[in-house]
Amino acid sequence: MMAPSRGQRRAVVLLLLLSVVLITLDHRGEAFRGVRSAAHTVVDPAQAGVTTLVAPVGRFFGGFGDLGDSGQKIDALQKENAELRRQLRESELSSTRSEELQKLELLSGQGGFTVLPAVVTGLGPSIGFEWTITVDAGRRDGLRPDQTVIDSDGLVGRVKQVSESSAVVVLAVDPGSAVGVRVAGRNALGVAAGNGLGPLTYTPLDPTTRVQVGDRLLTGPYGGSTYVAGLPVGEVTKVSGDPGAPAREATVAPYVSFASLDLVGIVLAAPRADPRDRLAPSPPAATTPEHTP
Amino acid sequence: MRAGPGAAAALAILVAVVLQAAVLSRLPLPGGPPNLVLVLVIAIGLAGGGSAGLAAGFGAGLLTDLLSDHPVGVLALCFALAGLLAGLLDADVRRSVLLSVVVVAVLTGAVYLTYLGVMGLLGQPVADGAAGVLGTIAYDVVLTPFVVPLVMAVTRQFAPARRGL
Repeated sequence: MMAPSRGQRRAVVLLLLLSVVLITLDHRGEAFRGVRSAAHTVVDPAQAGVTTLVAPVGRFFGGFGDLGDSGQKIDALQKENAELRRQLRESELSSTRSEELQKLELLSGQGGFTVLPAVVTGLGPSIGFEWTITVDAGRRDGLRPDQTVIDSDGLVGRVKQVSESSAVVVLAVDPGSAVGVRVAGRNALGVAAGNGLGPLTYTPLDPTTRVQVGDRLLTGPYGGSTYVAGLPVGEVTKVSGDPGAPAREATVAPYVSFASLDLVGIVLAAPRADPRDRLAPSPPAATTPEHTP
Repeated sequence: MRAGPGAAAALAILVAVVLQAAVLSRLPLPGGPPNLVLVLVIAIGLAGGGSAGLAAGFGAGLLTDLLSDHPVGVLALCFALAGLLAGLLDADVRRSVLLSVVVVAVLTGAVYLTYLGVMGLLGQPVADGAAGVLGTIAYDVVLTPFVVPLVMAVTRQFAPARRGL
């Protein structure tokens, strides 16, 4: 091992201090929103390109290039543009991922909300302790932070950060994520927290609530969560504590297979009325929730 | 021609970050994903010395931070230290591909511990600890014999006159 030279030592101290300053600034607030968005604007197109090459289906990216830059900043026009874009995207996607898209449309049709389909172009490049995905739709398609993201099986997560043509989605399994949920068929509210790629943990708000293995969880009603209400979240697979006694916590296998996300939908317009149990998957015996360790 | 190696390193880091997000993180492998960016930073340290490793690590870490969800600066700190340490090793250690595998394994483990430590200090939620790290170390070790000789070869292209140093 060589001792660092004087210049190196100075550089080390400088960069370490800089890191600490950056960490402190970012930890205390959203100091780097603009820079993060700029980084995504640069990297995400390349990422989408690589995904196109790697994915077995790639031809649907080709047609979008010309539409993004109308130069006009008129609100109505932009909205119309986004809607056309959504339709275009749907028609182009339907030739390549028709089955997934149909299931997604079925779910959004049942729930009565408008969904923009998007393709996952990458996972967070971090070192594996956080669960985010990048999708190929952004501000110009009408995406805003905190919109709910689903796939044909149920809740995926929510939009965290939006740049012009891409967005970062925090998955419901992220350790920092907590989803307000309700047990299907009842009014038992609770919180489903993420644990990485393992199952979710359900904690009831009212400690006397009883949940059973096989209970289906949906996103909670308005006001109870930032997510659109009534979306399938997962199924209870294990209840802690004595059988029959009120449960402290339950293990929930998510309906969505987070390890193999490909086509997702961003909920642009939520229904006026809570869909209640309409979207709940058919009773436990009929469904085998997919879940990858 | 002083800009040559720096520009090449910057380009390589950009490509690695894109590949990391679009391909490697998405591979359905057991354990954590391979970390090409970290292997590249260590390779640059081994090939170019402490200053090169420090700069490459800080840059690559910062870019990864900006594209991730955790506070900016955490991986810049971790990767900069890894690059520096790789570059400070004795020259004969740095030239051996076999030993570079050991260096990558040790530094990958150290980076993960540092990351978890910093995130813990900040009170950020982190789940799925040790098991995933072992997977990442194994995959990084597999990547090393491909990445390190390549970076060494490119570095030699930029400095053909410097021999044995």
